Amino acid sequence: MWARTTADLAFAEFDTATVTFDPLTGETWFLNDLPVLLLETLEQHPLSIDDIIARLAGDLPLQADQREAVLAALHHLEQSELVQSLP
Amino acid sequence: MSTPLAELSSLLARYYARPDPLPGGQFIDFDLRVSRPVGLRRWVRPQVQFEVDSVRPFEPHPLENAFPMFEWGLNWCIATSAHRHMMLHAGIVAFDDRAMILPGTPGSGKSTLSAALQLRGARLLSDEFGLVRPERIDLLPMPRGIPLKNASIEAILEFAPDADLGPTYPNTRKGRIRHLRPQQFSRDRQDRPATPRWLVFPKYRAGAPEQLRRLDKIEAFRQLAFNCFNYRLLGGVAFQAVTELINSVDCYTFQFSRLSRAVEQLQALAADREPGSG
Repeated sequence: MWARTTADLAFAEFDTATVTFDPLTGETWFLNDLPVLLLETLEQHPLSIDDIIARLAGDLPLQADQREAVLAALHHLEQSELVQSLP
Repeated sequence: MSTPLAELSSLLARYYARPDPLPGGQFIDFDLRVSRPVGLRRWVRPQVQFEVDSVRPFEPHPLENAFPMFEWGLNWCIATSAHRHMMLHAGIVAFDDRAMILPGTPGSGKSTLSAALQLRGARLLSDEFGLVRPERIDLLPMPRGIPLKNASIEAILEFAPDADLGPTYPNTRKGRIRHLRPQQFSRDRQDRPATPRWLVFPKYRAGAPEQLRRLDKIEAFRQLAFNCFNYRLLGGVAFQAVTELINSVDCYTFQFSRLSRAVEQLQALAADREPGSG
């Protein structure tokens, strides 16, 4: 399961990227579309990787490399302490 | 501010005296004193010390550098306590009440550009500390002497031979310094905030042609936050303020080497005639 570390992230959206501020760490992050989408997807409650992919893909089948991209983005967000993996 | 040093007192009057006395009941932010230490140093290689609220935050400096020490001390007071404002490392000038923010690290040319623009009629708000009120996203003026360093002194004198410069301080920790006196026009309006309109990141490069280029807002955000002294301290307040400021200005990078050409280009920008690069 994956979860956001805080519900209180602040976002500022610009043409080419989004900036987010994490009040827990005081860090500012510059994010492209996929990490922002993941943070939005996890806003309400924790989700499994399959649930996340299902929500991102909607009715469209997700390619294997896209699943890898989602996982890589989640790990990147985890290193930034914006999300955490739950047992 | 008090000092028994006659020369310093005279310089303070020249740079900061207001034609009208301060109204009574004014809140005093800092109680400053610049004086000579007691003991041997009064006579052997005399020194000067800076006190704020009876605390001496620095080692004494050579007596001849009393005015630069006062200026650095005042910077220290602001940098360590004015955290109700977002503090930008930036020169700021205003055209009417529309502000051009010139953030930059030392050597970028922000002080020289601020000085030159003031000498061509812009209102000086700051050459070093840009104070933003986060709740209003406006800029508070703090017109002070601009410490021109080393080759910038000659650049300004070539640009404006009658520029009102103070004494030369040949040996300071930042090299040779002369202070440009803030013009009366700017001092008379020091209670009047300005609204951000342009954000220009200058970069002096010897011999390079002047190039004013639009800057992506994300990169502008990154650079402005980097040039904000208290960004981390203010946290979410600074994040929100930088976001609003970036959204309210046009953002540019500006490479320059010839001061006259640089000022012409920035004046054209301020006149809403965006100049071509080159």
